[in-house]
Amino acid sequence: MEGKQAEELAVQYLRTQGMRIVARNWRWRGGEIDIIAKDGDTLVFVEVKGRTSPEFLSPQEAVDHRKRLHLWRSAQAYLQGKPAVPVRFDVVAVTPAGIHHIRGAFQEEDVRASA
Amino acid sequence: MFAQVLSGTPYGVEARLVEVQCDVGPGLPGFTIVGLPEKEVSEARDRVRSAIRNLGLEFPQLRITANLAPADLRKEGAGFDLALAVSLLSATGQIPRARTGETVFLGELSLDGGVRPVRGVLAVALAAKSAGIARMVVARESAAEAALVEGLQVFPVADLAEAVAFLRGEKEIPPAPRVIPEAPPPDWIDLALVKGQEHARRALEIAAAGGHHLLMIGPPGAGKSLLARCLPGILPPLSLDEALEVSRIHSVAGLLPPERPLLRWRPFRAPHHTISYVGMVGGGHGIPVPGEVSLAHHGVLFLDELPEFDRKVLEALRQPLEDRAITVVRAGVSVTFPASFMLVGAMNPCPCGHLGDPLRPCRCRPHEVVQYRKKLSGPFLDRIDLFVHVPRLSKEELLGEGGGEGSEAVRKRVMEARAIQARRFSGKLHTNAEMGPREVKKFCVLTGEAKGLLARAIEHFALTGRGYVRTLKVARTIADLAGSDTIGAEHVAEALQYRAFPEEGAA
Repeated sequence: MEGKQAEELAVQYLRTQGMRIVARNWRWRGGEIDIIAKDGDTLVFVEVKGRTSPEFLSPQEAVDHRKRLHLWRSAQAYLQGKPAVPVRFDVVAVTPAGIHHIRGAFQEEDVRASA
Repeated sequence: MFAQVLSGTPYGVEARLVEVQCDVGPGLPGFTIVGLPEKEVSEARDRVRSAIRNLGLEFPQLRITANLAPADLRKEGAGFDLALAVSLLSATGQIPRARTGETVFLGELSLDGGVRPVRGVLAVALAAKSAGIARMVVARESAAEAALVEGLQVFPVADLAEAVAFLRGEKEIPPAPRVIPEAPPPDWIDLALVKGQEHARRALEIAAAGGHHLLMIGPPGAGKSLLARCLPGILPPLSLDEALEVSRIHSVAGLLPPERPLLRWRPFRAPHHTISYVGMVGGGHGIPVPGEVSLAHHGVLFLDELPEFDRKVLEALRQPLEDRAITVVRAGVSVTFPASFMLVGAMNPCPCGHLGDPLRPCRCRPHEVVQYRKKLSGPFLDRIDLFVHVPRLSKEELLGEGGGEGSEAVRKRVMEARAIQARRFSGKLHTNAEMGPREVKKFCVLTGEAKGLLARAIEHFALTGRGYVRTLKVARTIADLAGSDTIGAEHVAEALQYRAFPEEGAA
């Protein structure tokens, strides 16, 4: 499954979950966030994983340490200067077998432990 | 969204109450614990998160900061888990805040939400009581221990779900009843089994009556260890206050059996002579834990083969022998443990053990004997009240039927003498051995004859000031055993018999 296609499916899926898409492929000099969405009051940073094999992945495998740190820093950059809101990090794995959505895939200590 | 609940941690034999504050706010999700936590406290966040999730409650994807106040007190152990979980659930509105006030939470969480017992529950319960806290929530296994404290409502919980249901008012938990357990006396050796040794038996009785320190010197196989092991059986049982004190120390050391949370009988500690300094006086990593001298509080510390102990270990006993407490200082933490024990030492007169034995020749060279005795320093020996020689048993004594008095009868006399002392000190002190200079002056009244005898003895035995006072205290106990108000010459004379370190052939 190609990246663009997977992201498109993920966006559709998140909308069915009642989430509002705020931004797609938000870029800054440090990199990119696939999807930024709002789930109620919570701001959700979503990492999309396209997979050609049908198995679901564990969150550990889905986003490794480097990727988590990258997402964390990107989120900090995005939140810079914005009012404080609840934040969550999700991972959406798109596979031929279906979509696997991990809410709250990691948090601060998971990033720190790997740093 | 802020909430605060109370918990506690053992600190020495006391405990300190700790405020567990929790703030939940927006921002990047994370769970931070601040307030000088040791490693096992920081690991609480993983246990708390799993426990909350596995109960089907919501673990917030928010910025969580937990603070353990006061921040300068070092926090150890997993006992804060329950309080952390409750304050977190309270901060997120999953538990009504009004129900968590005036309550101390203490327990470790397992990943499935179960609440596990921790050490030092009794100490924390006593601290809660003295701080005027009315309620405590603990693991089921700890409930009996905490409930020993009068006027404290103790609610036992099996898991976090039960605690949450209780705090939401969905479930009633009856407070654990305050049960003072009856404990049958341990299987002590009865004095009736000791053959002969009339002199040593008498010394043991005096030591028990007045709480004096005793050193037995004799060849191997004479019965020194046997005599020492009879001692707990002739001591009076612990009073309730003493029992609580002793139990608290054992609780902090993690040695209190959950099924018998109150120790009713005097501890008898007999550490091996290879014991380390820390094992004897207390200490260890982080907040010091009590050592053998404190575990023997209100009981007996029996040191067999006294000269074989490390010199440093023996010298460390000097403070508790005098002050009945020991102060342990570790990296920035200073803790005073109670250590009011009766020291009973046993040793051979020389390395081969047969010096002064009429039947077996001693194989030691004189300098070896000197070397052996030198392991016990003068200041250390000066703190011993009674020296008693335990000679080898004669043929007649060995073949005899024993026939000595049983422990029961001796204990009765000991308890009578202790009752006299209790009246005299009106509860401030327990035994004659604990008297300070003021009490000695007030209570050790000598007859004229006794004074004259003591005056001659000072020269003859070269008594130091401390030795003189010790002789007076022992004479006081002997007089108490005889039911006499004043100390007569015969009492002083007997006390002096136990004063001399037996030299060669003194048997």
